[in-house]
Amino acid sequence: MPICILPKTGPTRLALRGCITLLMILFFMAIPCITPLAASGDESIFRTALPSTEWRMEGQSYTFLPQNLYEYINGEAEFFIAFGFIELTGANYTSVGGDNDTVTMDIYDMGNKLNAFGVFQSKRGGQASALNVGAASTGSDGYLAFYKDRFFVEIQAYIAGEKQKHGVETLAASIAAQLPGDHTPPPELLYLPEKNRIAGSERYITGGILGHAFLDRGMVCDYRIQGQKITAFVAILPSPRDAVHAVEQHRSFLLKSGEKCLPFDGVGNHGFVSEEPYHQKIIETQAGAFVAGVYDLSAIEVGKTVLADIIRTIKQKENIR
Amino acid sequence: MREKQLTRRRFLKDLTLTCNCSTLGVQALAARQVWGKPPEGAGSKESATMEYRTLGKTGLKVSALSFGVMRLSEPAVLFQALDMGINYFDTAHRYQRGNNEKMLGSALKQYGRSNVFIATKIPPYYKQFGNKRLNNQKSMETMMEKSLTRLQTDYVDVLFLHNITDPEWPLHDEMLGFCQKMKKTGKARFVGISFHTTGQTYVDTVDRTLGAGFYDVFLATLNYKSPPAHIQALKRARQRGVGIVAMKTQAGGYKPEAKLSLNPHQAALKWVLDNPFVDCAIPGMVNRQQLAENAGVIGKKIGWSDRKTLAAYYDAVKDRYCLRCGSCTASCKKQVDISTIHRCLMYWEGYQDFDLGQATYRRLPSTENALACMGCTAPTCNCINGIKISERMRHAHMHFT
Repeated sequence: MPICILPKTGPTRLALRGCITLLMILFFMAIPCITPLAASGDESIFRTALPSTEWRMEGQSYTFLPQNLYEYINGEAEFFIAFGFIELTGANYTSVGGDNDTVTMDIYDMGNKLNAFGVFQSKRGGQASALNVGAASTGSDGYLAFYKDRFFVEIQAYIAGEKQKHGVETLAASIAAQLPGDHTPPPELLYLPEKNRIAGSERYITGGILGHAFLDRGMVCDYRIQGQKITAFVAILPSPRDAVHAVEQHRSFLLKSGEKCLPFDGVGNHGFVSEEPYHQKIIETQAGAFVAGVYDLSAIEVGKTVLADIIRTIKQKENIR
Repeated sequence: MREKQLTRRRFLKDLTLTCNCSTLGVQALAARQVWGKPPEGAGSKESATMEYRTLGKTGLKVSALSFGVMRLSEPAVLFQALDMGINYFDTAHRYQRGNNEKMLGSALKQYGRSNVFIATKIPPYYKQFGNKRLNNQKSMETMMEKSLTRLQTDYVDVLFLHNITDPEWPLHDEMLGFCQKMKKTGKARFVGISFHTTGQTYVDTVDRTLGAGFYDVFLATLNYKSPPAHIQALKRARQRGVGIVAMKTQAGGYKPEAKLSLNPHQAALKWVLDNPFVDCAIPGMVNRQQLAENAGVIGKKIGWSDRKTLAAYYDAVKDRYCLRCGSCTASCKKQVDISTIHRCLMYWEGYQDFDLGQATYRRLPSTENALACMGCTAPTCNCINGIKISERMRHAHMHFT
């Protein structure tokens, strides 16, 4: 028995007992923190989020995990899993009025804010109207999607009357209000300057920025400067060493492709200017555990300011000298 | 009838047979013969000899390595694939809520629509109150119009009914009416079904749909873990002239073992492509490295040493791959969720995603995780495919907790 190792009497025993008691208190205090938030797994959220008495929940909520998500959205399950999908919880609603209006709500727990943002932006349509739900939302043709913190929410509505359509937005707002977390975008997005940014073009890429596995994941967005559309990215690497290595790999790829790589100094480290296949001119540099670049440039000058802004922000936020 | 076990003998036998037959059914053409001169702007730095096969009775000469576009967001990878001679691209109405079709359409328009084959998929059902209800013809026509607009084309080469889970669906009047109309109006040159089902449903889907004699192409799950009954079903379909497109070909292939020289992803793809009834495979690719890796399989002849390597790979992974037959579930007296824990291990070891494996494991109730296995001195669990379950469960628990 572990307690036998304690001295039978004296101040040491008292001190150890105190430590054990303190540890136990801390453990029980920590339980709510280490338990999954489980909002998506908690059916009560669907029942309490009813926007009005005109809607009722049909049956029980349902749950899907990575291993059986394909049973629900086969063909697209891999897409969610690639973004770190953890669990889907959903429910169906129907209008009390008997108009056969129905709503299906699916809440995807994506593990973190960045993943939820990534899924949302991938599905965001250019023409879809922006709604004021969650951190960002979009909707059209009986479809509404938003993300809040680590949750991505999809609502599919089959509604005949105009009156109930407003109810769907209210329902979405109600769900968003009850989901844990905050409404702020992922902090990684802040590395990319807002000035001249094309709204809605922000995306979180996994698998390879510019199709390069060594730039596996990061933020990308488009800018319009002097009438020219250009694209900027910030790749997030595990360490500064990995970031330097990624720049070297990129340079090596370009040289093998027959492109010239010229040094680009003054902003970040290990910078170069080159031509990216299918993407015109590119400038790229490294700061800390990040690789930043601007491509689709007809002239390098256009991208320099954006790249300098990115590197300045990274250095400020990450406290890099 | 219980499906046969996947044995080393069967694996080698299939491989030998398919190697012998594959050269007969394959048309190897130089990429440039199909493309002609690549358009400006698309790049032409890559050169590769692609292998082309005839997609069943459609007569389309498709690249053996084709492209599952679903997760892709970077068109540069598409352009590189085009330069390598890949000419068949698979997307769907609902991938990325249409953005995937938009990206593909934009890239292929630059390259030249007539030089490529596009396949998309329209969902035949929607969900209401958790139940799948078949779409009517009109709603599918509306979806098709949207898809064509996003793809910036007047037609697709192959139109699939997406994710058939009920063998009767392809025979439904609304489905047949929709497909007939799409062919008649020239919006789809050929039609088919896609399915990911398991067990007998897979076989029934093939056989029932074949009976209709209407569909031109099947898009089906096929990998070296596929049960013999599924392989036989696809062979029957191909004998009837139905084009076979294989998906989920790599089944979360494992990373190379130090002692093996052949990349398991490549080995798994090669296993699929060496089946003579397979016209093309559409592995999902998101970057140039994956593209190069998969393209590296093309044109490689399988010799005795390759067969040995593949067999070694099979031997290396067979005690880890769970076929999810479910026969082990009742064998554990402690009610450990063996199947889910195997899935967690596959996320880690197969997909190289430890976090996902751990997150999935940690969501298991404590009564169902492998804690019970840690002190189990008389395990009753048994796998008919030879996986050492108790060892694997302990391995999972030690690493995920």
